[in-house]
Amino acid sequence: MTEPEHSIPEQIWELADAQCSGIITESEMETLERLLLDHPEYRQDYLDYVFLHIGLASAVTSGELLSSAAIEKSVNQQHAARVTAQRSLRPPITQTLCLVVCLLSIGLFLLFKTPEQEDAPRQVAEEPSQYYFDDNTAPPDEVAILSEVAMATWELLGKSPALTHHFQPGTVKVTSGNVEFAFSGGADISVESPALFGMERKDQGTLFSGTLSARRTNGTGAFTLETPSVEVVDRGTEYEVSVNEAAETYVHVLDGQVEVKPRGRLPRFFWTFDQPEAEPLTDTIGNRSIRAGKNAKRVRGLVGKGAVRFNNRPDASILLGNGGGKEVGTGAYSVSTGITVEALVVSEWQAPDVTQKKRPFDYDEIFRKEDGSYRILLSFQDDDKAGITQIPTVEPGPCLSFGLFLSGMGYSELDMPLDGKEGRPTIEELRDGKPHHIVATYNGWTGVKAIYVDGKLRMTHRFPVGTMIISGGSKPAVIGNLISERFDTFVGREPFTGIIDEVAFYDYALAPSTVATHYANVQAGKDYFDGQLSKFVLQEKLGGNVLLNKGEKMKFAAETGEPVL
Amino acid sequence: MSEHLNNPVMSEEFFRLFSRDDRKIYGYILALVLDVAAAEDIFQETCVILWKEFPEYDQDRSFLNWAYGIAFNQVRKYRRKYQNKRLIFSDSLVTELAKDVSSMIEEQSQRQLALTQCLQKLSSRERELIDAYYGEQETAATVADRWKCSSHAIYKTIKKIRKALIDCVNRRLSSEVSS
Repeated sequence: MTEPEHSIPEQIWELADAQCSGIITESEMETLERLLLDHPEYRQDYLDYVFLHIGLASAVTSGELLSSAAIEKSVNQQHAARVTAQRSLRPPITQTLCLVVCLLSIGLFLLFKTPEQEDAPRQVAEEPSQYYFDDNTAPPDEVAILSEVAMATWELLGKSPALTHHFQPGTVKVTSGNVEFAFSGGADISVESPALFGMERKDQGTLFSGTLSARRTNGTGAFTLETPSVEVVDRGTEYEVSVNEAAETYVHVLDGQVEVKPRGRLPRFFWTFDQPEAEPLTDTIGNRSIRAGKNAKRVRGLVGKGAVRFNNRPDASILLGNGGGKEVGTGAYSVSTGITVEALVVSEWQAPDVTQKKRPFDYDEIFRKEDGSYRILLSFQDDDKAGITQIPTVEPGPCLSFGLFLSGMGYSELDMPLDGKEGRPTIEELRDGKPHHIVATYNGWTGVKAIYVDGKLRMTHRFPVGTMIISGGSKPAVIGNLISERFDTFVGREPFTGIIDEVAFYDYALAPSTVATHYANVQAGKDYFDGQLSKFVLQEKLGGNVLLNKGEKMKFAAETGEPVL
Repeated sequence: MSEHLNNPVMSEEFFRLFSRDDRKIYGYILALVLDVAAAEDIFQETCVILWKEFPEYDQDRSFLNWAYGIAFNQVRKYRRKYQNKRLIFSDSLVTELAKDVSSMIEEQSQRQLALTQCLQKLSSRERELIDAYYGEQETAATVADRWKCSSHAIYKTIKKIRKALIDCVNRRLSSEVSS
């Protein structure tokens, strides 16, 4: 068979498309093979198409494809809320003018902004920063229902624990008897007292302490159970798990098979900004590309080759994507039993001398992901609380704030006053032009929320053990700014001033000794991991998962998650 | 394995070389098998073999080419295992494609960046479809049910989007080269 020369690329493209879609037939596959063997000059086009197919999956899962529907919905909701608020205060003409001026100022700013602006005097953002909290985000779906109670006493952790048969993510403390939950994903979990059990997602739970048995209904998806040191993934089975006071885990398979793997001890994301100028910035762990606004400029690294300077202008921001999150409780930024946000910063925060009591405030964001109340936030603030819950309550004044939503507690911030008291740094110390190592952690296993500066623990607060974080969702995480809408403009409300480098995001709390080690490494001019990160990544990839079959029992060590024989 | 880990010079060198090229090795495998789950398994196997055989690696040769060779052998093993179950190319074509893939991997980060920018041009409906198909990994039939149309119409739309995206990527890269 001879094809007209001009039709061959077309044919290859048609067949490659069918192959990528998984609908290619046997005879079409043979045709494609023949065309590629006979016409090597078109192989590159074929492979370009294959790489596009692979790249699309990667782009979508790393959050580079932002849902415009979600964006439009969010923008519309916020516009609607804003318009409603304004309507009660101002005549419509003023409202319209304000909107036009606002749109024009953003539009003109984007049209005329040039790279020379880097040399212009630094100033607070043209659109003055206002604290921004959109608490309208839909809460996570129901994860489980109560299916059976046998002479049990139990409660949900939290400020106002309400007894209910339908549960959103939260932690249950069983003090007597047995309680059985039916998870929306298909697993039945029976918790024996005394126990502390977290329900994270419809297909995931956490056993903080005590004993439970798990059984999965045929045909439903896998259920993952976390313990202090391992993850237990069932494979159509029934099993028992116990966590003792020494935090050791026992797994006993009653039927089928169970996979047990040590909990990861790597960052989920690590942005070093060390890529060559000609290449895009990426996350060192997953190699996912990230995007920078025009006033986030690459400069010499505080550690390594590169860092990013932010100049307090609206589009001084780095957009990290949403980690594949769709709704609250999903995506790679969804964490539950712990979190660490770690960064090296040179702060030039232009906080006023007097604490601000009225808007606008000037916040400097280090890291923020704004999924309504389920946000994650690490920023410099000076706002006299701005109506937000502080736990614990502190005196007004400049502070370093770490905000999280905790199940049963709601959103609150650990505001560390920059007052030089009780071992805390002063604002002058943090604005001395030198790099400072800032780490914020929350550990659900201990309930401790903490802020470290330069390797030392500076402030903590203890919540009830087992209190879990609720986070994640469709909004992109951002370094150096708060962006909650119109992500494509990179324009945010709370731009950072200074340099940020070596930002790491973990799904667990770093131990104080690890924070101290990271700081010591930085002081020695090395990265947090002393250049060993790739080794740790490989070790984790090669790390030993254990498969247990029916009737098998095994104990796993508290620290390493390795089997104890 | 532990013997290597106890040799700090050797393990340092391996981790340095491996971390530099691991994404390329994975991309190479994925392009040849077009199946993420299979690619991950093959990559895992490849990692282990690279590590075990690292003492045999000739430092004068390119690490990446050496790694591609080992990855290619693993791909062939996978092909042998599934040759009766899945539609796959012949050994001779895969051998030729493997050479092309290894020479194209370097430029993929630029193509991926261009793709990210091109994605912003999609309409909300197109984004929704790509998100469902690639992100949620819904089948064309599932999306078709929801959208009340045929699976064929969904495949056709995805094809149109992929074509538009590849044209956009090529345009962007050629304009970068010419500017």
